[in-house]
Amino acid sequence: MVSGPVLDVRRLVFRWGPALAPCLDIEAMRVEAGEQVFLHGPSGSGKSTLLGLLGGVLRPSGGEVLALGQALSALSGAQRDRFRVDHVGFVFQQFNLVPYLDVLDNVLLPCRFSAQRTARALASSDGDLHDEARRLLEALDLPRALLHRPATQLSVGQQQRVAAARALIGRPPLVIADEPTSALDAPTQARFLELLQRECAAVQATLVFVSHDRRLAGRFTREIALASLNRAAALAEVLQ
Amino acid sequence: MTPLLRLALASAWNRRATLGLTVAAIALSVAMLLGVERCRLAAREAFAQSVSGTDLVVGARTSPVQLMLYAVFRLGEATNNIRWSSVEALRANPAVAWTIPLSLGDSHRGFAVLGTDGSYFEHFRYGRHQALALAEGRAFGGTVDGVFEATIGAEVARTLHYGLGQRIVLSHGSGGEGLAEHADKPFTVVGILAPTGTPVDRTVHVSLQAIEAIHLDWQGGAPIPGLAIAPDLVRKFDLQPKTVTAALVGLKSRGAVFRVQRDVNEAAGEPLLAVLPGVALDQLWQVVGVVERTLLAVSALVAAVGLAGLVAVVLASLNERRRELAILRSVGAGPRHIAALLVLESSVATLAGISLGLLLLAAGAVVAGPWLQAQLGSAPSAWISGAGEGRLIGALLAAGLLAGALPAWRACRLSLADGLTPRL
Repeated sequence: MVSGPVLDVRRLVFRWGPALAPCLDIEAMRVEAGEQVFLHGPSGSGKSTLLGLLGGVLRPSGGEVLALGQALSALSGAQRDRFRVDHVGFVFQQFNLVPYLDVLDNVLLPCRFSAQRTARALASSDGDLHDEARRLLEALDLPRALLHRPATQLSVGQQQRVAAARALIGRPPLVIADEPTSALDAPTQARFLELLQRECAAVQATLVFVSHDRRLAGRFTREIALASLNRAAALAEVLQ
Repeated sequence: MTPLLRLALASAWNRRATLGLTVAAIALSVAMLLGVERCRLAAREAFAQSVSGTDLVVGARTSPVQLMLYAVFRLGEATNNIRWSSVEALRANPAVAWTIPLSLGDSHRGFAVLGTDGSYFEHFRYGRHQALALAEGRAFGGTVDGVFEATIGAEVARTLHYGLGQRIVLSHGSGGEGLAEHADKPFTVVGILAPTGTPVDRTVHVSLQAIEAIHLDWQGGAPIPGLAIAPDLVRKFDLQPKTVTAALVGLKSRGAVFRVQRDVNEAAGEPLLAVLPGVALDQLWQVVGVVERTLLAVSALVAAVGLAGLVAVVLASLNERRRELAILRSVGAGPRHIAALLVLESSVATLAGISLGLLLLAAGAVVAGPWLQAQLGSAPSAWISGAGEGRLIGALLAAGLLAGALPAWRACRLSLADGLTPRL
């Protein structure tokens, strides 16, 4: 479905105010379809800002972000919301799940807001959304007994796997994971990463995995170091 | 919108304790606001119907409000009496159907004593044209033998714990302590009237002849020294009253009311005043209007506090829900979804609060209805009545919607910033 790069960042500049120095300044960054990229960003490297720009929550001060060939700055706020839910799945560090919904309903949340995700989920499961959610959760190694538990009764590792299933449902072309393993202990980390990568490959989703922990980099096809990519952060370091 | 509704329900259920309290607070303020409003209307209605079916009140020339005050409400003193011949002239008027003579001035332990005749029980109406009813006993006797009989109002009986057969002594004049007493001519309670919620409840009724009889040996407001007429002897005297305080007049046709009023006001015999009770009652109500408006203002404040509580709860829960809303944003909920979620919740909470308040009021009206009927003279309506109340409820609903709009606006701003980085 996607021929060009999934993410294409061109001369991206972002500053919090017109008079302030830019906190993000990236000449170029590309992520090709099907890639699993490790984006390494220590705190202060502009990681959150970059994610905000990639997700279309923040608007660039200069340059542009093309996601799946679409220039995000050309879209209105509502269109960006729609684009995001249709094409991007997110996994966060923690606080991923809506506490009062059960596991299955949490996984199905994106389908409630996106007709495209619903359609794709139905297509890959012979017309039953719940089947698709169950299949994903099973693939991510979540015990069946937990499907109807409230999200709050799960361990952190289990919660992250539910979050991954939610990001993957409806086969979004791009999955952005923001420090998803930081709250997990080492064995759980490795297991989670393995499952996430396998499922992304299975649904042919491009994975951008953001973390400050370089030990995980070895598992990815490519590593991008944000600190060296972001000229504004490098400049700040020099100035210090 | 259906998935949103499910989310809103699940989310509200998750915070049911706080929301329940808010709904209860709204319900109580609604019940208070509408309760006060309904009692006010009931009191006003009862007041306006202290006397009904009477077309004219006739008394000595004074101000209409004062005439109403003493003739109907037994408050204050008449400046002058009217001659019995004037009452007879009224009775002779072909347009007049009936008259009720009223003779006031004496009291019993603070309650007014009213001298009248059988026409009082026959023609007097209050409320929605209700006739007086006896709870116990009978009306005082109109005969010479039944001179010292009294029929008392419900409140007199209740306050003083009087039953049938109770012997009572009337005092000369009305008001406070230390009045001269008609101790030589005690009365017997022969009847107790059912409660009406009107001044009738606070009245001791005796015959016109009785009023004459107890004043036979009096002059100028004091017993004539050396003259004492025993009760048994009063029948030897002419007990036909020479004067009365006022008269209630019923006409054969209401259409004649202004003509008869003019006839009375222009009567050649003595200076008289005829008043249309409805008009004078409206004037009187203006006097208590301030109290009425104050009550309404207080209950409006209570309602405002209830709604402010709703805003406060929704705003406070925003912090608690920041994570939840950020997650929803990240899985594709737009700002309008978030706003709808919050407005939906506060309007449903307001709606639930109002419904609960109305139910509370209806239950209250069923339970306390009879008591209120006795106190106010008219039971407050149990369900929504009138356009005024509809407007009040509409205003409350609108305020509830607004109460959701402010947090919704704030949540949109918050959740947009939180959208992809929900770190708390």
